[in-house]
Amino acid sequence: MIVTSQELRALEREAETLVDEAQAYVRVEELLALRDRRKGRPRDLSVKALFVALQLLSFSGTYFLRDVPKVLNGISPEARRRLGLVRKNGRPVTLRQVNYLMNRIDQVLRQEFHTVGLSDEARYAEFDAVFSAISTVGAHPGATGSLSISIDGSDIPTWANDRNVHRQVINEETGEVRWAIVRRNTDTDAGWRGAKNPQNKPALFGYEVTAAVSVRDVGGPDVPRATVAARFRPVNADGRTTALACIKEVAHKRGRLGDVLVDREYTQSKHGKDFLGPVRELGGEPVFDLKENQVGVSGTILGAVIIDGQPFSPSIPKALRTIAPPRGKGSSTYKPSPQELAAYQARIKARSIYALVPHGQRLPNGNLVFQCPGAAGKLLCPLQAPFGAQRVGLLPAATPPKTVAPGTVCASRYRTFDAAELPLCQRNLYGSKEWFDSYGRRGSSVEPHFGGLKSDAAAGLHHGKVRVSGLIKTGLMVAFALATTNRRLALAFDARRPADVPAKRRRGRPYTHNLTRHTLGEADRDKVLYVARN
Amino acid sequence: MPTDPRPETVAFLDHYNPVKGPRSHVTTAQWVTLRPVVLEGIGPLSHLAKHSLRPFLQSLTRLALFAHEHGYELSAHVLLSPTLIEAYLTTVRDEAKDPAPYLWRLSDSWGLGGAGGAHTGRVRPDYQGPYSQDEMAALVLAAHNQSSPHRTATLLAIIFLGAGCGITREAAREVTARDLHQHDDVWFVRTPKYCARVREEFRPLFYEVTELRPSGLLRGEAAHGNVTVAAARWLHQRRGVPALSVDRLRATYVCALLGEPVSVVDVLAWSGLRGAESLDGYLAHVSRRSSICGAPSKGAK
Repeated sequence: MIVTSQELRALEREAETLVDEAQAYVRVEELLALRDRRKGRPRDLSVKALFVALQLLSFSGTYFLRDVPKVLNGISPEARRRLGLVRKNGRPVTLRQVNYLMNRIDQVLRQEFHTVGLSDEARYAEFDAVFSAISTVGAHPGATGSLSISIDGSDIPTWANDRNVHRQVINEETGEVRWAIVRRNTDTDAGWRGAKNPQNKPALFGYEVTAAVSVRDVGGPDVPRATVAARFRPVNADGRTTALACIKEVAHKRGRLGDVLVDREYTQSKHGKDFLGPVRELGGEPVFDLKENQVGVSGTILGAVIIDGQPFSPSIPKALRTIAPPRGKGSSTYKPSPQELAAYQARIKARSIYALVPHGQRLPNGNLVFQCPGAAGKLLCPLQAPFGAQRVGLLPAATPPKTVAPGTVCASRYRTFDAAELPLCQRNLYGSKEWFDSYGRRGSSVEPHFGGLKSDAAAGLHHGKVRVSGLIKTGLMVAFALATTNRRLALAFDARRPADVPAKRRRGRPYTHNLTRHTLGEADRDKVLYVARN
Repeated sequence: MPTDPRPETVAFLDHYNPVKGPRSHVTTAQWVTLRPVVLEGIGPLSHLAKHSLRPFLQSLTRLALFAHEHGYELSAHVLLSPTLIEAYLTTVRDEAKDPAPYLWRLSDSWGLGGAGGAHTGRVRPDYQGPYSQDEMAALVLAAHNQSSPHRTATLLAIIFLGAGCGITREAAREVTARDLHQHDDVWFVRTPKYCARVREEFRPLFYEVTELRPSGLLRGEAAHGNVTVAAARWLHQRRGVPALSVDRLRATYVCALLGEPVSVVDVLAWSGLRGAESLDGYLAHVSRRSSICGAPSKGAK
């Protein structure tokens, strides 16, 4: 809690530093200057001052424009001087000035929004540059310590509404006035996502913020969570295009990409041309979950059986071809049972000996070279002898082909697959423990990041806090909220106990609140259960 | 030697159900699938008494479960094939009873390439006979093919300390990776009483062990009991792999030293032996040079 004037000044200085670091106000001022042809008094309120005020408000979890004048009139004299808020007539900053400047910013950033024939990227170019610049500041310096990122989107409902209302309308021909049911939309930028959508998400009228968040590399040290690129779009925009724009920005900033962790919303297609292919072209290694229609056998290529997107030896027994992953969906819990998960991973491990072994990295054209598991010494196959010394205790191939068809994986030790033939192929076998460990990084990065964005403990951006309409104005508020989230996460990362310092041993009685109870409904009564502690 | 099945054994097999056991490893649904092949596989031994049959049934049920989980056809010929048994045995850990002898005997009874009487009875090992080169290679290979890196590290450490340094069981207990040191370009391992010279050909093995176990005791620690006893059990009844004996590993080291042109004093110092009479048992396994013959040289008295 901020209580002293020193702390207040430090906070002002910090907000100013973030705004300076983003440099977004410079571009906005340039755009305003280019468009400003109006004669009259010069504008007193600068964009930088407005942005500093919005950033300060975001620190305290408020996003109301009416509070901006209070903030700007209440900051220290030094800060006022730095921000050019010293007026000759001594008048304070007014809400009218703030609203005027916000409207002007809205106008200059949406110049190309409705231009026909432009791509999304081109139409939103100016806004994206400003939005991403603001939302990526405040990050911990260590956030650049990894190459991997995690991408996801989060709903931002608009303050406006879109509904049918009764209104009096005038018939232009007859001049008759009558009541009619008309559609009233107070935010034409926002999009609708109906209740019946493929992702089964709740209905929403508003926007979606898509963010790329830093994630530790596999086997690498932990890195602080921070937004490294972000986009703000109507909720009905194609999430894959938005995510690709974020990935492209990260690749451009960092020079190269590591793992790109995404959920099933982005990888719904079986061909992968819409998302996975472009990510690989950018140099990223997608790590993703599969949808139900992508699990199991999807055909054969060069004699190899394609299961869960990966090529397997044709000697794989039929019993191991389709292994359904456990899901929490359909049960009363969010996650599947650990017992089911362990059984599933054991089956995946049993199947893994039939998987074709990747030989080296992807080729420059995206093609993949695989080695026969028999030749790689993973199983005993009568068609392919192991390349090196044979290990003791290898499992024999269950159903090896009786004859070798030319051109198939059984005819040669190595076989090259075209990139388009294996769009769903991942570095780790889908469902294996290694895959779970790799994909699990998503759940500890981007999801809690959005949690922080909407939690009152961090940025506190939830419904009702933003009372402006339109993509630009709402987007600016969200951008400052993301910057605040970055700052809070950076502070939390620094406050963590280092891994090599042992936890302080607590003395005395264990602190328990005795409020947790595990019950099981039986015969209309809740039976209290005693769960195992370890 | 086909024998008629005992009626009480047949009755016992009809009602055999491992699901009812106190620590069952199969579910009812799994047993429904596995039961036909287990009964088929145990068939040639149905002349045995029912209490003798239990360990066979337990081992066979677990093997059938393993085969079922790995998608193999559930028939006795597939199940009791030596390759599948060998593969299964590499995954077996912490079993109360070692399933190897029972499975090999079942495999033999089906005529599937088992080693016959080689698995029955125990031959008293020659504790001072060194391992041959092939046996050493088989031991190292078997050490690499263990079900966990812990086992591999422990076995490689035992082989390194035994055959590479000739260190006895007690002295090897406290050795860590930091005990390797040099005296005039020659590598030694420090033990509480002496420094054992490291055979040059075993240095790569040392680096491999230290990579797997960079800190702590080189041989690791067993949760219950002796490390070497546990390690010997991991290699027990493996095809083509000799029984692991620390004495034989040490004999391999001592015999290798005796075959080199080094003084007896050095051999005694490096191997920690008290006197030359201790070498008697090893000399029988050392090939003598042809130049040393029993005939007295000219002028000798």
